[in-house]
Amino acid sequence: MPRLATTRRRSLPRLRGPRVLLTGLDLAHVHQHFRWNNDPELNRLDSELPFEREAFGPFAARFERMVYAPRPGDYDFEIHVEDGDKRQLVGVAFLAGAAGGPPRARIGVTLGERSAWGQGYGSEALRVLLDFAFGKAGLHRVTADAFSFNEAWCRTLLSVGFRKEGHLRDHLHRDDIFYDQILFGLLAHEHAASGDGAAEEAEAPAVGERG
Amino acid sequence: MAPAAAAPRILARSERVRFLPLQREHIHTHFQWNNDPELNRLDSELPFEKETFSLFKRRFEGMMRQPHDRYFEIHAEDNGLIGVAYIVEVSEANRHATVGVTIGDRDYWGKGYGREAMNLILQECFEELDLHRVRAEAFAYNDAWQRLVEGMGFTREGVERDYLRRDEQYYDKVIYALLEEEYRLHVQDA
Repeated sequence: MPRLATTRRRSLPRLRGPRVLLTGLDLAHVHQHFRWNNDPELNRLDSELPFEREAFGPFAARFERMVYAPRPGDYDFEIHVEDGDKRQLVGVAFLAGAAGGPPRARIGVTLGERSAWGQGYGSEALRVLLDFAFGKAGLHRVTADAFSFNEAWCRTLLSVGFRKEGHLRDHLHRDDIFYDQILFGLLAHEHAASGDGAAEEAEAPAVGERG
Repeated sequence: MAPAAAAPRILARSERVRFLPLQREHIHTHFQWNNDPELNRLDSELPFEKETFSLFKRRFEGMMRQPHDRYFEIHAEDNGLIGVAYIVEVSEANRHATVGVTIGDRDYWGKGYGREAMNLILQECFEELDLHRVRAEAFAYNDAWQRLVEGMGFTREGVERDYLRRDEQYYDKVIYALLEEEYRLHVQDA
């Protein structure tokens, strides 16, 4: 595996909710991330590109860059579920593009572990990350998008305060069918006014979402 | 007659407008437009910041080589270079792209050159690249561009609120799109 010259990792804060803990990506977990990366069902929910299996070598190199040399303004987190002393890695969450321009970013959450679906962990992770985005990261606007068939993710976004801002017709082409993409946005003052936060125990709908 | 070998390839043409590839000999005109605060306000997401010539040159050369994004020089039949047009964020898998037109030469504003260039761009997108969906974006304060794309049959699909920051203020960005069947209808009507 290629080693990058810069091995000083940019440290990300640990973000904690009632049941989830968000930490920076850990190279020790590369195999689990690789498994999610090559999962066709997850790909269908989050990627604009048709599913294509990636070999371990290229993926590991890409993952290592995300850990040690992330693009400025990109924040990639692991989502862990905490239960007493036990901690289980169940997915990833990201903020992307938060540098070099107006204070805004795109957000996304993926629960890779099927056992973690439908229990509200996705919205909890989203809430924790939004607190960070509008708090420490100082953002003014957060964008999220969803494929029209990913209704669980749409509901989750609305439940944490996002507003639907647009409906992009036929944006996605998959298995010879065109699907729409729904565009969502949340502004800092709306987030503050909602009183929404990580401390709040949320009853969330089923999630299996990726950003 | 001009020697054919020396003349740049004409990539597309209509009544008053021709598309040529980006040419190194015009880099100073492009550089001037690039550092024009008023043009920047209309077509750039980033706040205006003067770019040095050497940085611009590197970026320009990158644009000339870009395999996926297509940049065109817009030439008026009665003059030379008057602006640029582009097709970017091309996705072959999804058959979509984003387009834009900037008329840099102010003498050619308000005379339908932008519309004519946009027509050529759409022809490229739907006839040559076989796209299904073409997207155009407009900043909330750019009324002329919004009128232009609406006049060409684009549908207003959404508004990204407070997307842009200019002069200590936030502005919305409007998203438009035209689908291939709508383009065909529009061409028939025209």
